Amino acid sequence: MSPIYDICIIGSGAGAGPVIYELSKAGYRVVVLEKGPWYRTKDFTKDEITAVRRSVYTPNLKDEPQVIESRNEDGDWEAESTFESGNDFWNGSCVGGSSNFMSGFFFRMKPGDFRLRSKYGDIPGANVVDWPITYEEMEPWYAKVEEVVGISGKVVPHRFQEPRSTPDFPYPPLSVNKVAEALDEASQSLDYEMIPTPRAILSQARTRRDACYYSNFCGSYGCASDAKGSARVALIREALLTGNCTVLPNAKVYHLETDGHHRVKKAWYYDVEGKKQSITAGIFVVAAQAIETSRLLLMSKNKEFSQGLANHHGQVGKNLLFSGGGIGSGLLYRHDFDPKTFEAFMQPGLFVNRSIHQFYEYEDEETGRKQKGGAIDFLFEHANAMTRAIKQKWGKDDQLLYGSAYKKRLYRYFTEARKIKFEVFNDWLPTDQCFVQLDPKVRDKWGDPVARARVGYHPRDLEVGRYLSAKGAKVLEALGAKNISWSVSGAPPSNLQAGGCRFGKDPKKSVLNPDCRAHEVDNLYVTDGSFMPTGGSVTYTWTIYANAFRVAQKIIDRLSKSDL
Amino acid sequence: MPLYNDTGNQQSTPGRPSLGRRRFVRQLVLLSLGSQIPWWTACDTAVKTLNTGGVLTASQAEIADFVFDWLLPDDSHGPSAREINAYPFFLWVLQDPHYDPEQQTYYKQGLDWVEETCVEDYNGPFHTINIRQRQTLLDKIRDTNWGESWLASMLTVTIEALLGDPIYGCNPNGASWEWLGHQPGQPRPDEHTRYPIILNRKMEGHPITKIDQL
Ligand SMILES: Cc1cc2nc3c(=O)[nH]c(=O)nc-3n(C[C@H](O)[C@H](O)[C@H](O)COP(=O)(O)OP(=O)(O)OC[C@H]3O[C@@H](n4cnc5c(N)ncnc54)[C@H](O)[C@@H]3O)c2cc1C
Ligand code: SF4
Repeated sequence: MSPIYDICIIGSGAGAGPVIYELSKAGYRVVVLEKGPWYRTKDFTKDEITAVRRSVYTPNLKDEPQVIESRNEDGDWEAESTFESGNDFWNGSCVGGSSNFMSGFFFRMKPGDFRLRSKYGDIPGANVVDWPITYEEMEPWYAKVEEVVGISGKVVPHRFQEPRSTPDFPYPPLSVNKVAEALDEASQSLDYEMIPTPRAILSQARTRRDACYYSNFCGSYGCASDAKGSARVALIREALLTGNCTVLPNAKVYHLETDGHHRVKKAWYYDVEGKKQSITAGIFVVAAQAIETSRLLLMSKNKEFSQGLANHHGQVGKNLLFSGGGIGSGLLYRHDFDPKTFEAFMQPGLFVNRSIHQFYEYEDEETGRKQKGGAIDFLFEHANAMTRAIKQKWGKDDQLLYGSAYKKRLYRYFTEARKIKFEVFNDWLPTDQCFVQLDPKVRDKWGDPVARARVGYHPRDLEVGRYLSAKGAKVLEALGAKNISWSVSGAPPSNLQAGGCRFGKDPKKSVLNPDCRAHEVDNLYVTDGSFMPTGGSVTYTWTIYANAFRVAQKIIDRLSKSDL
Repeated sequence: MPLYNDTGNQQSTPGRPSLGRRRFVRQLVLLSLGSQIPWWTACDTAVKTLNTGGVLTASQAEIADFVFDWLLPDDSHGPSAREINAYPFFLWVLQDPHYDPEQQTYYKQGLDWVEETCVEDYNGPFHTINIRQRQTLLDKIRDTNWGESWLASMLTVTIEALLGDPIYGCNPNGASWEWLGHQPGQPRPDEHTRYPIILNRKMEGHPITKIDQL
């Protein structure tokens, strides 16, 4: 009996969206199993209680914890459930996944990122490899994302501008706050190249999507105008229009069953009532975000795959990646600027959208060798009022402030200054100390073992982070900011996850082949960030989208040749 | 732990302020406390009548009400705890079935610890001491590890009430936003999208095949 669906996709975020879109458009019968609910555009508000304080868009950690292993003060690995620590590694559990809540700072990886090892050499303690494909192979897919998902920006020549097949972005840059101009001047005075930050946000309306209305609450919030290029709006909604796509929300996949011939035959999931159900399909694509993708493969062990699906060589879960880097900030005080300028700085909504890529590569001062650097993005502190107010409750010597003293401080903070920040992105080098396995004890509400992620970092990540942060701080200084501070740590940013199912040519050292098909399972693909063997020094999502478009085409090519 | 890309998120667990689970717990100084408990519980009737929401004892309610005043006083500079309805908001938090139950217990435990400290210091329950004594007591408690961590969590609740959407019964007419020159984002929550109504989406499991079901 032939399966009802040609393709079953697990997850519905950035890694899933392009496959859902392309396969539905090509006329294949597509089913999507998404563990979270379906939030519609009209469900999304800018309510801080909903989006941030009660974390409505992610699972309750009591029901669905993960376990994070990090080094304690003595240098030993210590495991703690995220329910205990409160350090949530879920990013968006609903149709469209985290892409609903991203801020859409979008960058392509650069040609050198695809061949890190040949370009910069081995780094002791790091599992650096070249990608099995080149930037040139990825370029058309980057360009496709610009069109289909919608990216706004402006190409300006700079030292590390990636080669492009089109002259500029399809959407003009978003409007910016006056501070962008001031940042341009500040960087000029330092001889730094400041460039506009591209965003996966529509600056102009298009069919079924309005333009950005500068809501001032972008990251962590769903978009009420559909300007943000989430997989839900830009891709899944279009797929539904074809009539070929079915989305099952609240369907949590827990096992992929194989047929004894190295093929997946069924995806087993819990429905909204917790009942076990299954779906049969010709091809299966997993895109559950890096940690959960590895977990699902490890959970799908059986006689045929005793160590987990596609894991004969013990590679599943290995070389997990986050983004290395740091964060810095400074305050723009009213009394340091003329009134008109300060009022312009205080204007809410408009973006900063400025970045520096000049230090994507730099010379190590000691060795004189060229080494990989990274990117610096500038932005205002998030507009979340409660979050900002909560940070003000600790006074000098970290003593709790309260009463009139607290009120005065709060008032000054909100009315007399605006915080400008920078975020540094550099490689989180792949190491043997960053991986996913199944926790031997902790179980989720369905009784399944949860993911246990060890999140070790490489010391080089911190060195590069510090180098870049010092540059970011200089810019803030030249801008006239005060109270400048920055910090670089090896704590992983939980919202930027990749790796765990590397793609590569050698089945012994990678889980996926260059087409992102499992070496060991003929009809299994992985299309979220898990495939990335190294992460580049920019945010991941544009690359995740682009690669998923690339893989979608590989799947269509195969299906059209009836290779399956 | 950093979260990049303008997340504005504190990475808190649903219903849990940012302290996570590492809270300081009060070490009991067991005077003749056991014998005293029935006495002040029995005195509950003497306590100011406050709505306890079925989740607090009368003495817990009285202490909570005072703590909010102490954290955000009426000092003619911006809204006070009373004006932002901090105490009713707190009851709503305690009644929320989706909130972390351990955190809810922690809030209440802290109220009991204040009572216990009061008995140790003043030989009587909180409602019997005057305002100056209450302030001195809270100042002293703030200087202990457990007190500071508990008061910090109570201040977080106060801040939620101060800057939350008026739909939650706090921050009437957005007065605190106005005070701080803060523009709330649009759209604001309504009766269909407010917390916890929005959680109902998690109960829908029907397949979606058409765009009009979006
Ligand atoms: C607040 C925030 C800001 C961000 N800002 C940026 C930014 O500015 N730039 C940028 O490049 N990136 C940003 N990101 C990151 C970006 O959102 C992610 O890189 C991207 O969405 C990852 O795509 P994904 O497909 O791997 O995972 P997701 O988009 O998270 O999708 C995974 C989906 O799989 C589902 N799932 C998981 N397990 C199962 C299962 N067992 N069964 C069924 N479904 C399952 C999940 O519920 C989820 O919907 C941000 C993220 C957040 C949270
Ligand atoms: S309207 Fe603009 S700023 Fe607001 S969420 Fe949408 S894309 Fe972000």
